[in-house]
Amino acid sequence: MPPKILTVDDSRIVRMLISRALQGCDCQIVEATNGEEGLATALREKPDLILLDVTMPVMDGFELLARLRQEATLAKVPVIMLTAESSQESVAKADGLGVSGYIAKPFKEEVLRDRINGIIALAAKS
Amino acid sequence: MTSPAIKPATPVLLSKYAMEPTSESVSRLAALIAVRGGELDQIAKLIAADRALTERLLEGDVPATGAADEVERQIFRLGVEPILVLAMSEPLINAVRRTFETMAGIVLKPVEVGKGNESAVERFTSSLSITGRANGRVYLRLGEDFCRALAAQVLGMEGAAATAEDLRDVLAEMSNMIVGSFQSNLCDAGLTCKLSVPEVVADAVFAPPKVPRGRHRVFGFRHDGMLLLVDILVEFAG
Repeated sequence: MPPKILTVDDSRIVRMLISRALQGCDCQIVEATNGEEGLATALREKPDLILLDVTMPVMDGFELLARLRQEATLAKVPVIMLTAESSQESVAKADGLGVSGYIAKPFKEEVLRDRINGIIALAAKS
Repeated sequence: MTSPAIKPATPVLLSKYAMEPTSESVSRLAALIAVRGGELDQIAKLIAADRALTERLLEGDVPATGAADEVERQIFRLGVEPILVLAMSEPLINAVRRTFETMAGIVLKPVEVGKGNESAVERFTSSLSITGRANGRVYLRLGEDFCRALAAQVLGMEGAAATAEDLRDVLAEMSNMIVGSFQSNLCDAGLTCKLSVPEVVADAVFAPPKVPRGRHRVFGFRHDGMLLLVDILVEFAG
């Protein structure tokens, strides 16, 4: 089965850019537009990788990340933060919550694609 | 240059996630914030070490020798806060240029802002506010031709095919990336602050709000004859 990637971002443009970056990759993309929807979608879809924005309405990315780590079935799912919030404090906070990657916006599509492929390959090996 | 506002362990983390190290302009801003209540000559020395900042402060009239003295006189005339806004401008300008180049392949050329320029671009205005140790707002203003070219580049489509919703959403996301990056720089420099969601309005006549102790600066950029104006309005907390 192709890996399933969950994108959680309130921006339609960013979700569109991620889909475009992953065109041609053998993966399935599911989307959510805020943290609360992201948690429900993650519980239902059991993704292999989550791409997560920070600043979102309803529930932000850090809260969702903390909640994911408390869910037995999702605690070990790799998460890549994809966010304009790139302060050292934010990076340290995400690191403390065990993220697998941190990509600051603006981002190059090829960087995103390479990081995703690398993490999926690593997860498949383990 | 290092700053007491930047945590020493962080470069290791930045390297772990392949993120860029703290830029010179952010380090300089952090250093300026750290000495903002100190002696003018300390502040003047920090500014004089940065040629671009000195040129902006002295409006291009940098003496061959004794630049620090001239900078100190200028700080005495203007006060420290306008100098901080000038120092904040560098990370903002960098964020604008980097975001346009990375997301749209558009290389922006900085231009002098004159009255004639400003009247030409009132079609779209996007703005976000920052609140915290630095309070203020950043505005991006551009005409429909530039907004359409931007949307076309970002979305990989013909400009004419972009809908009104595409134009607004692309401008909102570009603004979010630019000001989000800028806000992160301010946090790293010791001016902890939060960011609002972007607001985009069309056909509104731009007028920056009157803010007590507010400092306003505008920067211009050109691409293929089209103009982008970026305004920063800052009010310092206490």
